[in-house]
Parts: sequence; structure tokens; C-alpha cells
Amino acid sequence: MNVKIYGEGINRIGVRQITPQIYWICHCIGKDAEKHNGGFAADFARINPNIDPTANDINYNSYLFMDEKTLLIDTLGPAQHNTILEVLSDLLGERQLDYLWISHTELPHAANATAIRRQYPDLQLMAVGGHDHYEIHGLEDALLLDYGDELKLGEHEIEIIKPIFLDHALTQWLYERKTGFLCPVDWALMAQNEHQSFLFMDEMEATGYSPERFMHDVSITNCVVFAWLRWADPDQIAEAIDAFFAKYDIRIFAASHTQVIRKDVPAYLAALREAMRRAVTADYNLVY
Amino acid sequence: MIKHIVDDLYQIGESAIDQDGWCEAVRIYVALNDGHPLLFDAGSHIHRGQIMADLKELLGDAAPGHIFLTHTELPHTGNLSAILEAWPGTKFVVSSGILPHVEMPWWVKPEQIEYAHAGACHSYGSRQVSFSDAILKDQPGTQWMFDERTGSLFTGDAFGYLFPEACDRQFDDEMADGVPVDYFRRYHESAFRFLPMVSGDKVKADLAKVMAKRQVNVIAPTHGNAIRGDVPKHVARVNEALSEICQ
Ligand SMILES: [Fe+2]
Ligand SMILES: [Fe+2]
Ligand SMILES: [Fe+2]
Ligand SMILES: [Fe+2]
Repeated sequence: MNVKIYGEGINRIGVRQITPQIYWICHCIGKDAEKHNGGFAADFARINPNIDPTANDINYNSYLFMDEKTLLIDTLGPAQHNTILEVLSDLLGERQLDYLWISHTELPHAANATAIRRQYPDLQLMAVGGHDHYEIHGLEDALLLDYGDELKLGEHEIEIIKPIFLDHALTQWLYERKTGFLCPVDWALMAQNEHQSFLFMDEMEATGYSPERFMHDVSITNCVVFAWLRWADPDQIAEAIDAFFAKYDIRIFAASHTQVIRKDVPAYLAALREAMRRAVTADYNLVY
Repeated sequence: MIKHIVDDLYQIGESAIDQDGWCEAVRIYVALNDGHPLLFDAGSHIHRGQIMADLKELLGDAAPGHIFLTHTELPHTGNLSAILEAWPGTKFVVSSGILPHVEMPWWVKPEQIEYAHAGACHSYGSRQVSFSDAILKDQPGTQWMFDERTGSLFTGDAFGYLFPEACDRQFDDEMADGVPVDYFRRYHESAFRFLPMVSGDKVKADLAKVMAKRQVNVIAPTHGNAIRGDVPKHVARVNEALSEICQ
């Protein structure tokens, strides 16, 4: 595996190249994940024996496009504030960061926007439009995008997409046409163990992972990420997914909290569809 | 702006206003709690000056004991740094679903954070606060808190409403006919973008379970004023708004 690692523990970031011009910038803790993340895997495994009880780590992903223009997707979280700046200096060298695209304003995605702007004062911050009161989210001078907007980076052409699964209202997804790169943000969040850090999904298979495991994991984790699914209709959800997959030719599935899927994409997308159907009818065990 | 709600419970925090004149409140609720003050959410960074002045006036010599966070996005935590600068010993109570290294500011020390599990009830100074899963939320790891002494339910984003500037300082019982359905609809429609994809009846049934489980005298939303005059009437109005937005 070709990964360059910066920092350690809660500061740690690993960088891998997905294509010659797209980098995966991934925070996960590794060895001490259980300690820092409260050992949640054991809880999930109690409900569903298909879940790995040692999978206590969650990815927080950023992506960097290095075309004629450079674009960074999200900023990682507070504990990675120094490491992300080091990673960006290393990858960008003398180049400027032209665009910082914020998927949504939660701290794990947007916390380091100010620090990154200090390092690259000329960058254009981009957030989703259609709302008011941006100043309370720290986005008062962001360029506001509409769903359907396009942005040319050079060879890469970005399209802004309306999310089908979202938590925060100020959420947008992103698709790149040349590579079929989709960033569906929080959708398909999964967990992994310390031996699976920074692996592409196809490399996960050597550790016993599979589309089947992915389906089981996501059907549990996405009840937590999108708790509103319990009020939805499983057939409508499946229809929305089908329409989405029919519209976008997805060749790189690059979510915020998932290993990057670059091979066998159709098998993982089919697993994801089934996972969401199951999530709708799962037992949410809520405390009212 | 300091407003007295009931007993020892106060509301502070300002509002943001858009070009059309609609306001979004960002409130902090403060229970004086016999010298161990409790804060519910921390307010917006854009209102720092007024919040800190109001807090100092309200608290006098007492330092806040605990700050309860409904969730960690900026409108709820943006003013934390100012509070911690003034009172470095303050502790935080967050949901057990929070991962602090990505969801709390990096300068908050691990020993300052206490975790609450949904279903738990703990003592803080002279009162009991119980915790439940947030039923309507925009971020995983969101919790609702219930103050057993005043019967106040702190609901974070849920039960918020947008309002014209004239209503900025009014509780429901200070408005002519309380908070209109339209104000709730405007807020819930823009804050919870998933609602058009779900069944309104199911959402309403979940909210009813929350209300049936405890005697709620006050609903304290972060993005609205406390609802203290007629809770059942306003729950019915939120339900009506949900019926309009959901399937
Ligand atoms: Fe999110
Ligand atoms: Fe996320
Ligand atoms: Fe929120
Ligand atoms: Fe909020």
C-alpha cells in the first residue's frame, strides 16, 4: 500500500492517490481508536453479529483535486487542524488552493476552514445556497452554489448535486464527470478496525471484507447517521436510489466516512441500495 | 437580551435577521441553580459581546458549573471560547454519541467533557437533568435534556421558529395568539430538509411519545423563544406545520 502518513492518533492523516490528479486525505485513529471513540463497535456487534466488534475507527475524508485549478473537499475536524495544513503544503507545494468546497457545516467537515484560509488567503469558499443566516454558520462570505451548478477545474468538471440522504440542511453532494467521482458526504458511513486504515475498498477484501459485509454494516450505521429513515418508506427510498444511480455514472465512490470504492463499484452500490432498504425498517432503540 | 422564563430559568442570546426581515434566534438557556449555574447551548460567535455581558450580569460572582450541548455545530458552540476564557473551569456535558476529537473544538481538554447517555438522569448542583435521544435533529449525536425542577425540555433545533423582528423579545404568552403555525413551518422546512421524504404521522407519533413521558411545562428551543404559556397548543401547531411539510 502506498500511503504517506502525517501525525499520529487523533491528529493522524493518511494520503493516497486515487487518480493522478485526485488525492484521498483521510483521518482515522488506528491503534487507539477504541479508547478515543468509546468502543462503539462492541455495541453495534451486540445488535448485529455480522459487525466486526473491533471496528472502532471511523474515517473523516477530504479530497484534493489538482487540475489547472485546485479544489479541496472539506477540511477534516478540530484535532487534525495542524496536520491538514502540513498535508496541504506538501501536496500543493508552491501552488495555491483555489477552491474550498464545504459539503456541510458540521465540525468534522468544516472546522478547519478558517485555518486553511489563513494559509491560502485567496481561496474561494463554497457552500450550498438557498438558505438565510449564513453568518451564524461562519459562511457569510462563501460563494453560494445551487444544485446543478457546474465548475470547470481544467479537465475535471464538477457538478453540484442535491443530496438524497442528508443530516444538516446546508448539505450538498458533488460529482465529477470525467472520472465519475461522486462525493455523497455522510451517506454509507462505515467503521473499520486498525488493520484496515487507509485501504481502498478493493484492498479491504484481503481482510475478509465484502459487499455483503458492507451491506450489513451500512444497514446499522446509517440508522444512526440518518435517524429520520425510520419515518421513511423503504420502496420510496429504493426508488430514489435507483433514480440517482440511473442519472450518475459512478466510477469512484468517495464519501466522507467510507473507504474509497474504485473497483467493483456496481457490486458495492447494489449492497448500498439494499442496506438503505433495511435501515428504514430496522429497530432504532431510541430513548424517548 | 435577558428574559426571565420561570423560577430560576432565564433566556439570553440574540437573533440573526435576513433581507426579508425574518429572524432566526440563537438562544442560550441559563438555570441559576443555587450558585451552580447551568447553561444549555453556548450561543453564536457573532453575538459574543452581548452574550458575555448578559451572562456576567445574570451570574454575578458565580461561574457556570456545566454547559449542556444539544449538539456541536457552530450556532450552538460558536461562543464556547469566550465562555471558557471567562470561566476556564466550566465543564461540558455532551451526548455519549459525540466523538470529541472531531466534534469539539481542539482546545477543549478531555477532562472537561462529561458524557451523558440517553435515558440517564444526573444531579448537577441542586437539580436533576435527564437525557433522551433528540427525536427531530440535523446531526447524529444530538441530545435533548429535561430539567426536572422547572419541567423544561431543551430541544436544540426542534420546535424552533422564524419570526418578524417585532417578536424577537416575546414569549408565546406575550404574543397576541402565541406562535403561528407559519413561523414553525418556515423554520422546520428550512432546517430539516429530509422532512418531505418522510411520513408526518410517524414524526408526530414520535413527538407524542416524548410529551407523554414527562410533564413538559416549558419547551426551550435554541432557535426560538421559550414556549411557556401553552405547551399543548404549540405542540399541536408544530404538528400542523409538520403535516404541511411531510408526506
Ligand atoms: Fe453530517
Ligand atoms: Fe459527517
Ligand atoms: Fe443543528
Ligand atoms: Fe441549530
